[in-house]
Amino acid sequence: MPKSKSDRIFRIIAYASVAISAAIYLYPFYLLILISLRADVFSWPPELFPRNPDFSGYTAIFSHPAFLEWLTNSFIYTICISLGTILMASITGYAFSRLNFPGKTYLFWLILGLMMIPGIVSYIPLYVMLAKMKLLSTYWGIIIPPIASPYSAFLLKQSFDAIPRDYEECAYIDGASRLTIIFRIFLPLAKPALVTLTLFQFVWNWNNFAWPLFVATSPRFWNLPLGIWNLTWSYTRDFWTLASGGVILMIVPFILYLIGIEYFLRGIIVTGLKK
Amino acid sequence: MKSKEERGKRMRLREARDAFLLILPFFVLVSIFSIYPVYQGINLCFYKVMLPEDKYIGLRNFERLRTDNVLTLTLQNTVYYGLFQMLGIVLAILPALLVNSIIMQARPRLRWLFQAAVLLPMVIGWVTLGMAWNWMFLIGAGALAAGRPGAVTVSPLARIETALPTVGLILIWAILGYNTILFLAGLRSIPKVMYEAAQIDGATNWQAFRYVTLPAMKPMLTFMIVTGFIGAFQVFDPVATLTNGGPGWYSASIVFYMVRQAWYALDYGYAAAIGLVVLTIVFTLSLIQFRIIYKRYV
Amino acid sequence: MVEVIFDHVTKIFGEGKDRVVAVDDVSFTVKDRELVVLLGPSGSGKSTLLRLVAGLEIPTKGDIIIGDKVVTELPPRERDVAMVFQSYALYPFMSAFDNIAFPLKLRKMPKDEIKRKVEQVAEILNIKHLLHRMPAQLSGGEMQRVALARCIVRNPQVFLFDEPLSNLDAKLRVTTRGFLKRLQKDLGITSIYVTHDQEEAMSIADRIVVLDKGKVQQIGTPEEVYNNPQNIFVAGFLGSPPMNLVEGRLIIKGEKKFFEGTSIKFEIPPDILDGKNLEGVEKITLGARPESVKVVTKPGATAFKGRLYVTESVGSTRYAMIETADTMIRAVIEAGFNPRIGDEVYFTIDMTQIYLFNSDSGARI
Repeated sequence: MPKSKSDRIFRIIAYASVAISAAIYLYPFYLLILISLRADVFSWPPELFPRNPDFSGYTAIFSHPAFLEWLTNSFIYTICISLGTILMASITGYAFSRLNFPGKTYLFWLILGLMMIPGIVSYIPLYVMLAKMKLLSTYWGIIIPPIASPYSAFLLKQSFDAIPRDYEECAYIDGASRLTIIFRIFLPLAKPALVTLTLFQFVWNWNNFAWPLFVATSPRFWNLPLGIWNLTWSYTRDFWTLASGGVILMIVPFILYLIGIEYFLRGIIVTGLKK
Repeated sequence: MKSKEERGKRMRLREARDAFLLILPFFVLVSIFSIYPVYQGINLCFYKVMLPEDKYIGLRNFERLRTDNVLTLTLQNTVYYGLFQMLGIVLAILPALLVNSIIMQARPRLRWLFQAAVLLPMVIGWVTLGMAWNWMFLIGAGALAAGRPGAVTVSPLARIETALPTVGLILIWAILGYNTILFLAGLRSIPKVMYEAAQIDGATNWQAFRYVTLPAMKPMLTFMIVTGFIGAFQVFDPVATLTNGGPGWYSASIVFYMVRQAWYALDYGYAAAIGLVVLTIVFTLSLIQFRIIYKRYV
Repeated sequence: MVEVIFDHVTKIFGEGKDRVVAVDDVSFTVKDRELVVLLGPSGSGKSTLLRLVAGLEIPTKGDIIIGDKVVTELPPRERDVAMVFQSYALYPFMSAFDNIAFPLKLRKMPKDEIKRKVEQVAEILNIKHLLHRMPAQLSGGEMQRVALARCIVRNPQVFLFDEPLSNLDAKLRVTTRGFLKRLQKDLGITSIYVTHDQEEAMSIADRIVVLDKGKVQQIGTPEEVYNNPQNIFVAGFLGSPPMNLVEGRLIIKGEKKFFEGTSIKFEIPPDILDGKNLEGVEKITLGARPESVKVVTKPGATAFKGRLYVTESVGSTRYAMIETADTMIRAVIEAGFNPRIGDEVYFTIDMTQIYLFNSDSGARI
């Protein structure tokens, strides 16, 4: 039985280390919020709690002519690309997990091979292709190409493999059609995996600015990260405005994170251990 | 009496038909937007692309690759980033051990709080992260210089000697949470009986670590280290948001250089050539990684 | 001379509403060179007792003595005990040789001496040809022998076995049982063995400690606990198929004593209850092993009645499960007699082989 003294020491260390980690990881964001509210963090001692929060930075961003455009685009891209990807990955993952067909092994190796190609590298030829197809700066051009994601299909296939087939086989014996089995038995079982992928996709697509950087040649098609980033490097704004932009950007992922934290953590552990 | 091939054929055909219907949309899109671009990418290397006109220039892009100093520099940078990543992964073991032994013993609930905090950077985009760290360093540099009159307040992200390592460290900070969580999961998957058996056999805590924990973690560690190194060849967002490659090209990764060539210099052919280099490197490294895994388990 | 003494050992886990008393004031002594089996259902505390000896848990109260040392608070390292786990716990990244050598290596024994000892032990267990293999390449029985070798090679004071046979298939289990007992006798090392399988316990134990809910129910040789159970639990736990237990009341009419169940009523033969203190004893339980209950083809004066539920064959013996107003009775049925399910059947109980227990306390009268 652990003596209570060393027990207490351990507990103190535990709390302390978690507190320190939290500080290291939350401080940069807290700082950003402080700056966006024009708290005086440049003098010593720094003002750690804003006495006169100044929201002028935020109003500047909100009143920026293109802000609404950027925001709308962000929502459109995030939702459409994410849902599209999940749809594609689900049906493909299901086929690879539950069905047998000629060429299955080769096609699977194809997916594995494609996973090894860094996304950004393919942006360049994609750009040229889309330019020739006159799809630059169109919603189609931005949304459709990322949907066929080998990585997502692979992930879902692995997750689906882990779901026992017993329930489906039982329904099959009972006489259910494949469609019924998919919708009423398989999908509910696959829900955690799908939710996890959805969350990951939402966050990834919301934050992604490299892709629109290439394909959205007209600023009208920029998404929010791209818009804010551009502001950052053009030095035309007050720094607290820029900080406000950064904070606004982080609201959506942060909320998604808080809501789905369990899914995020579990998703990482599961995908990580599988290797 | 039906032959062995005929029997069940109808069911198999139906299954195959269903399967193809399901995977068709995916592979159609993949062919257009993933496979074809590879071919296009190689093709582009031979052109100087000035849409709508392409000018065929043969191997001139590859020639340029050889003599491009910036390319060499960014390639070097990327390798450094790779090494930083590897270091970061090894470093992640320590917090994982700490959490696993002390926190799990004392207050297991804390584990979730810890994981949630350290994973946060992975969720927040680099535009925000880059901004936040730039301010952190500016304030820090300012604070350091405050006591010394005449000292210049320059953020380490803006100085030639320190830009690269600073970006490297920030990268480690961002991914540390992810790696720690993975290691934690790995540590927790070691069955407790092994430790009990070692205790009874006479092992001290250190010996148990050496003979039970480490061997169990080795495969995971190896895989993650190699993946980490490969990952450096895709680094773009952090560079773009922290230093924009600067000063000069001293913190640029090779992918960043590639994007610059395409986006700002509008030289898509050359960018494609750089992309080809990156692709080759990544591919080779991945193959090596597969080989390592296979050797261990097959 | 190595004895293991449990001195009023108690182990409590958890607090408040999660509080579990795993071991409740257990005291007994394992004699030198003895193989004692801790027998009981899951939750009986047997594994906890074993872990207390190993040092993997520390008792809440009481002491544990191994040999002449009080080891109650010592870590496993300092107790000189060896343990075979249910899952064998072989180090997966070491060869069989290295697994066996591991404890010696930890004690910094010179390499050639390690080699000699490992091979010696491997010889005894007939695994010399497997030494270079990794655990993943070994069968269940082979892994178990490697785990055994790892224990033997240290020449410890005490052997501990935690359900070592549960992961083997039935046939292998039976053959290994005899092997283990013989090995223990040859090596002469004091051993404590945990199992929930009473047949296993009966076949290898020198003495059995029967446990339930953390308390010792009875300690004795296999014959003793089988033929002379001291309470209902022990009576019902040992024996396969298990003893029939019928609840009823004790009726005393002058000199005569009667057992009165719902349908099973008879006069209790005088010698069974002679001289016993029957004060306040009202509810009693009758115990009769299936071997002592026989189905009779013709109902006689002493036969009881019931309805056949099902018959089952075990080896060369056939048992009939009979539904009575009291409870289900298992009886031996002779070959040739084939009543159908649902038929009325009659059975007798051999009155020289019955046991009577106090229903409230569970104790044997």
